[in-house]
Amino acid sequence: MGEEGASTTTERRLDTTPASSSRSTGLLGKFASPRTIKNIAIGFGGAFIFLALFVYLGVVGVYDLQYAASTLNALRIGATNTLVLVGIVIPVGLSAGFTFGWGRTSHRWFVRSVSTVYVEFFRSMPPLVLIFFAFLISTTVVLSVPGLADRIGDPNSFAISMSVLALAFHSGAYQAEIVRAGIQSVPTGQREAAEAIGLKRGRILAYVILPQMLRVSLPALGNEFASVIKDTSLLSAVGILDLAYMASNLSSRLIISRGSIENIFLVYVEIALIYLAMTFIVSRALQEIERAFRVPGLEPAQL
Amino acid sequence: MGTAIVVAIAVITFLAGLGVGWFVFKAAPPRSTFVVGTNVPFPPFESYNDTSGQFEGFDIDLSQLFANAMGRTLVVRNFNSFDLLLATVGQGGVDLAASGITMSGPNGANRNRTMSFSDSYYNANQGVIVRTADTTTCPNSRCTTQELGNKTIGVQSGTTSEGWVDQYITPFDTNNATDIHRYASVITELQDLRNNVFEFMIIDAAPAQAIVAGSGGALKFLGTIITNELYGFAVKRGDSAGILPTVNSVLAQIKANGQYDALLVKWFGS
Repeated sequence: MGEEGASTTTERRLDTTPASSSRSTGLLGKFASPRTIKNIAIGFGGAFIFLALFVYLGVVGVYDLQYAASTLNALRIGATNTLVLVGIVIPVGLSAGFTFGWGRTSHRWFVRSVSTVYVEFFRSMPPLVLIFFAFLISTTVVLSVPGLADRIGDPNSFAISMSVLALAFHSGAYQAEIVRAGIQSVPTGQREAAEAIGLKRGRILAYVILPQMLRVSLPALGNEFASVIKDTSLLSAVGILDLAYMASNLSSRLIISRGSIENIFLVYVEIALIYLAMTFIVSRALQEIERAFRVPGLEPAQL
Repeated sequence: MGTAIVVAIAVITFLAGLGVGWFVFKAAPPRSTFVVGTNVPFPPFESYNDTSGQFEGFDIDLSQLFANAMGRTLVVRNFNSFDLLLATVGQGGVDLAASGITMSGPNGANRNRTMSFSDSYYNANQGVIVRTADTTTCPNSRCTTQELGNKTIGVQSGTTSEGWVDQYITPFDTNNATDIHRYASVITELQDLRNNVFEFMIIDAAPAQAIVAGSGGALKFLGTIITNELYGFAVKRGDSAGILPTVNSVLAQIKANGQYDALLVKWFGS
């Protein structure tokens, strides 16, 4: 009892920043700190000013505002599909990353070798090649195993799903290495100390390993998320109508049926802005999570 | 030792699950969708309308009629390359490929080995597009190797346009002046044509006319190359799903009752 009290006082003495003072309100409380809310407000304000500037440039005739407005429906469809892809690829990739990253550090040779095979396989192919590979091989397998096609239903939509999964697993392989680096950054003495004071395995993982691991892994994971959002554009190669497809279709309509190819740059500016917004939101969110997972006493040195 | 047992149990459970699943899902109901693969843009046969979010065109309307006749819902899937579409339909990855696919001639002979075709539904020739400033002329709007030999030409790879060029132009390259540009997509091909990368763009005549009409005066239609190609709908080799009889009977029926001509007027304007 007395010991616990002592440890909290030490912690309180270490915590001098405003973000850490709200630690007691739990994980959710940390994310809704006044600073976060201020950041979100600044973000929305900045985006609004930027958008207003963009529309103003159209009004004064720097580009064809009417054409830009006519593309909005296509962009809406494309952005929705891209968001759905991101919503599948990131959670699947993260789960695979955590599973196999943990497996890479296991003391069981079997778990370790399965994880290594996974990482090396999915890391060794360019994502576009992997997508085609998954698409073609799943089509072939579904159709060549007797009776399988009847049970699967639509072989083409199965093949497309497999391509999406392949991209998720590609990202998962990178995330596995990030997670492994994080786990291995925690000195073995930490674990031994936790065992010595009688913590069970699950608690060691939750209270000792995970917080210190995330401290190292989160910046790299954020990097990987930002990268995989843009990699979803490769899935347009198997016919998914995402933002990248919409860009190529809009420019094809300009070339084939509307005539003013001067507007093609505008399509790509719009698409680039949407990708930028998506990536920016995700990386800022990660930054907030990073702040929340800071370990008192282990803050990074500032140069 | 412990690991081995856990792995063994996991593998056995996994296989047992697969086995149970195999029998549980045995009586799958016949699929209610009719999946048609296409490769846009190829107007007026097929294109993607971003306002409605739908694929549209002559091929798509015909596919809708086939789906209606089978009592199934039409689902159109785009393939970003023509080669990938042909590879997929040959295996049966989609029920039908509707993408202005030529089933006759040397290309058609190759394709007939890897997929099965419906009766022909359109008779096509090749067309030649040039920039409006180009001074080349073809007598009677009939272009031959006379005009196109030893020149720079753009084609889409995997198409019969490429096949024609490889058969009649490339082998007769007398003074090393022939330069064939091959493109995966019509879009980049058109961009390069406008940017003066090559002089003649060869593509099927109907889309050639549509492209010129929509180019706002930047391009002109130089003439046709008479190739007498027959377009057909492609299905899995051997047609084990039994799609072709329905397709052929619908085609015969609409040619007899005037619906086919109405569709020609709707998409080709004549």
